Amino acid sequence: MTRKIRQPLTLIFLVALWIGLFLALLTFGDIKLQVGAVLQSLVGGSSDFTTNFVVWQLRFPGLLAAIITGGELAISGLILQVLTRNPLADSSILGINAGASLGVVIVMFAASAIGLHLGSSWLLVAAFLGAIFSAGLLMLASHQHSAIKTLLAGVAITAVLNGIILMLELEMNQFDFDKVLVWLNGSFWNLGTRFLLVQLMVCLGLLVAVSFLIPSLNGLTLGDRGAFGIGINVKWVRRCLMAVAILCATSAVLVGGAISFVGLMAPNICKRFVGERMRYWLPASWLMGCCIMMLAQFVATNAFGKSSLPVGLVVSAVTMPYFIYLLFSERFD
Amino acid sequence: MTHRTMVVCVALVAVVLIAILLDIFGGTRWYSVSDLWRPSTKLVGEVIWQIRVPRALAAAMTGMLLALAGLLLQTVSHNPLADPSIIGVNAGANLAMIVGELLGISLTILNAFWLSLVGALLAFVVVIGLSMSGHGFNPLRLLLGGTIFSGFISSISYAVSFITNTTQQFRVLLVGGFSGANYQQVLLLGIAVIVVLGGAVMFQTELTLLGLDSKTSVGLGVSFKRLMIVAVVLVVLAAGSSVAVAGNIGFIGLGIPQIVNFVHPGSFKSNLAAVALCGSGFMLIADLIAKTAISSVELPLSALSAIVGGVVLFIIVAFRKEAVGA
Repeated sequence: MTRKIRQPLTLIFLVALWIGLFLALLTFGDIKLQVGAVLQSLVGGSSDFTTNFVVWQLRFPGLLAAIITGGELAISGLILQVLTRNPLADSSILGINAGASLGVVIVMFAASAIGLHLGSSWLLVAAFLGAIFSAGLLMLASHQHSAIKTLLAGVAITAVLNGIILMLELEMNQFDFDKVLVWLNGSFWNLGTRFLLVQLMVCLGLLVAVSFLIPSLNGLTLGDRGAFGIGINVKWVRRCLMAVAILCATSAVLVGGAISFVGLMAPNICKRFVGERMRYWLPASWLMGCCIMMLAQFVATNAFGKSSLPVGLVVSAVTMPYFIYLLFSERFD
Repeated sequence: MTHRTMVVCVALVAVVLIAILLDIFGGTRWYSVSDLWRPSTKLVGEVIWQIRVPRALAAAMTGMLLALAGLLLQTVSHNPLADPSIIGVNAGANLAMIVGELLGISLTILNAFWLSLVGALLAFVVVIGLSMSGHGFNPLRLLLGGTIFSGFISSISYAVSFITNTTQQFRVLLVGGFSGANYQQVLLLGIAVIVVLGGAVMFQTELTLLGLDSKTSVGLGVSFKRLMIVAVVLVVLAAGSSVAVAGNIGFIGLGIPQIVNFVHPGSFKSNLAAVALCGSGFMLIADLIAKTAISSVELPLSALSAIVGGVVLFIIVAFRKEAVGA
């Protein structure tokens, strides 16, 4: 199959998968619904109270959270992979997710210590500062331009920050070990409508920003020199892209905690099918990221009967073997 | 042993003994020294002899075992960053214990030991398999693949205990700590210490030669295969028995040999005693901090050691040029 046909075909397949998972998440669960009824309820034409309640109140928030986090993590991973020219980069491996988590945990800890209730916008700021902090540490370590050293530095940063998170969280909820997992492994911790709507706005804003940066991203895949040659202000563009990547990861962490490896997997899988042209690679990665998260959410809520699993655990159990596979098929010189 | 190392070792033994005493007397309530032989009440005597003493001994021996395991791994893999927790051996032991308990094997102390040894061995074999590429053993792959494998195994541990609603029950295993230490565990740890320390001393010359580059060591008559098997057995025994008692405590095996080597650069042989003693001392102090830093709460020991060890790892990766063997 030539590339010209394969690229649009992949996109069409991914869109179909996206819609399929979207409906599956709304349809299946403890209360079984008909797909037709769900569709009717979605467009607002259903008068059945149970269907409306289950679809809009119980299942839609989780679905929305999955779409926000999956898409943002995938985009963030893609930008980081292009910027560092390292196919194994990802906001979770580089320690950015852990930094954002730590920011949120510290602010929550401080707020509960002085008895203050904080809005979600403060949490976003805290998460962003945390993410910038760990990204700064990473830059400090990556001055030697060795891809694998950068990754190891990220692993070290993650270990330290996760240790601090574990301490603060156990201090906060001594007997609620499950809450600790949110910021270490990821889970949708706040499915309130207002919170999610604000996050959706942030997510859409970031997507728009990314779409403006598509041409420069395309240029950067040629390498810094090539990009400079076709008239891109490399320094400025790199800074913008880094900021967007960190913001995407931050916003995703705020909704879903430290979910790992989605940002690694989605762009890598898509690259095999559509190549490095951003026009296809970017939307394909976004769709793929959403699909992975929706699938994980589906497994987390349905596969284990009554007890639902934190979605982040499902993601890491599924995606880490793929990372190991990638690691061993990749050559490091 | 030169005169200088002799002095250093005696000093370190003294430090470890003082740390053991501090760990016995320190805690949510500090006891006075005389309570040891003439307790003020019967309860105080029981707390000291049944809780504090075995706990301090367990901490001392676990620290020694983990530091030795790290030193062994670093020597055989020619890589200063290797450590049983980094490459997933500890996580494997952890998972084996959780799965064993859920399969209905009650976690008596003896069962916990063999389950965790089996888990450690399996994880080690898998990780070595992963790091074999087309061109033989690759230390960098061992590290990165091992770290990710370790994360993978621990998230499975979390998931399993989450589904079965046993996160409280396995809390000590998941976050590490010595709060349940008793004399039977101390006895088993003691056996492990004797075997590991004995093995390390017995093979110290060959292991030192292995630290040279591979052609030289083969030329001097070192059998790589045999030493590898010895090292695997010793590391599995050390890491497995520490996890069985204290849960998943990482990074001691990384940090201690690094720090000792930084202060006194030397071979396997010349640093062996210092590493073992520093491991004990560090673990005792960490345990004391975990018990006393915040009243009425015990800090998770795995977090404490991850913070210290992670900082060491970061500094090595970021600021030392030839550190990673790349």
